[in-house]
Amino acid sequence: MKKEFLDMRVRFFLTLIVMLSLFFLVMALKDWGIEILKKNQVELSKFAGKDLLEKLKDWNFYIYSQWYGKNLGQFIPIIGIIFAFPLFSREIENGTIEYLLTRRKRSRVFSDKVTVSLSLLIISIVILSLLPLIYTTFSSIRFNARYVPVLTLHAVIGSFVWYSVALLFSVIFNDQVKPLLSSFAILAITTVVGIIKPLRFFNTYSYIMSAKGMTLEDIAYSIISIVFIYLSYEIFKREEF
Amino acid sequence: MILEVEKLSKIYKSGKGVKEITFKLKEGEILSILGPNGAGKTTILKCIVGLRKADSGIVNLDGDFSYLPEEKRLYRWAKVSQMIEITKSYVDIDDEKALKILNDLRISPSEKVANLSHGQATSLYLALTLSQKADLYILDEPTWGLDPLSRSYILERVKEIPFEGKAVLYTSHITEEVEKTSDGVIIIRDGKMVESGYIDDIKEKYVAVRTKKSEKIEGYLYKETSDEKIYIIEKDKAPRDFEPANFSMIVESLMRGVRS
Repeated sequence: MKKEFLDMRVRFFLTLIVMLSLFFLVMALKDWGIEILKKNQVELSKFAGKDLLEKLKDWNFYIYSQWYGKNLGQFIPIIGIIFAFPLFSREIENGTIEYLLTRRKRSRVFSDKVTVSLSLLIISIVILSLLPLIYTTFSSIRFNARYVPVLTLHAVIGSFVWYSVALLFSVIFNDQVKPLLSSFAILAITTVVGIIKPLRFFNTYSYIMSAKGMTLEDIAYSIISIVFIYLSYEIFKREEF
Repeated sequence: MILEVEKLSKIYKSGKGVKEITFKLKEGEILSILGPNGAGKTTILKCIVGLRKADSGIVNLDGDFSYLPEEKRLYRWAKVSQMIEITKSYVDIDDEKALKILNDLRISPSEKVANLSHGQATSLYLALTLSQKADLYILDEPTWGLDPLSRSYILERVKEIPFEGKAVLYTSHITEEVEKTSDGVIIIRDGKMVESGYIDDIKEKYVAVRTKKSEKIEGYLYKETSDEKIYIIEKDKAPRDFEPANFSMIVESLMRGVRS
């Protein structure tokens, strides 16, 4: 498992550094952002209502809308994809898969990779979801964390879905570009398709950013992810190198 | 018997592959597979170690194996010492032996894999493979890309393996190397076995026959000059005026497979 962590450490720490920077930028730019919007108040009111500026001044609204609803929310599927797409495809592309498979059982290679990467993914997502809570605890900002647990759960499950999609492509393709592009293509297609109301389920963004408590979607997305991971394992077990 | 392969076949969509390969390997022996590029040597090894699934046939491997692939690729982000650590976490290896081989080949444990030359990376892979505790060492072109000194050093290490009661199966396209190191040999051409057995027996089996250019006899053409032809032919089928054939001549002729 140590090798798998060494393999993933750059992705893990880089993701955390980028997202932490983004968070502190979002926090630091609150007043500046509101000032900019004030200058364009007339145009803004046409699209976003007159009270948006007042709402944004409130830390609760600002954190939920700008961090969970925008910055972190939009990156959740991308983080899931980034953690999974090179897992097998890089080993196949670089030819190191032969070293691995002739020294470990296939089931062990698969389980080690999935365990380490999924653990690191969940740790990252939980840290990033709890960031506002941690930050506001040590600052003078008063933050109502009522929706944090459910948004964290949605973030974890949402990243899990895209992790499992990218994992499947990572096992199927023998270079790193195809799993990355295929995953992003599926993300784009499902997001667009999900705009149509009856097909809303396909739009994982609306699920990730929703603060509704336990729903059927939690179970459905989790089951889909598990099925994709199982499919990946079955393909990997039979694959020839 | 450490390894028994019976009627192993693996045909790819392109039509290439190996057909009905059969051989046995005993403890304390070195068996080489010789053949031109694309003849199917690597496919046989990959089917034995489980990287590829044979279409038919039986592979019976009695014990642990240590495998050196044709493409000797390791983790570029790792240091040499980390590669030993990683390998140790997967299989039982004698790290002192690995470090000794690396030291003898002047590869520093603190060096990054990414900074190693092709030959040094091959040496590192060989150090990891040969220091692994196994009953059978399966080496695919182990000396390819090595300088002459490293090559003879590695061949010496390979020759030591049978004395520990272990066996070696390896592929090569260097006939002289095989003759010096191996007990037995399998010669394959276009995925089929054309000859197999102990090297001494094969050398005994074939002879060289010179004929005029216009003359034709039943055998494998070895060489054709402006006025004569040299054929490699089984001793019992040869005319009286034959000459002894060296191992390289026999292998080259059988691999080329041009018959008259």
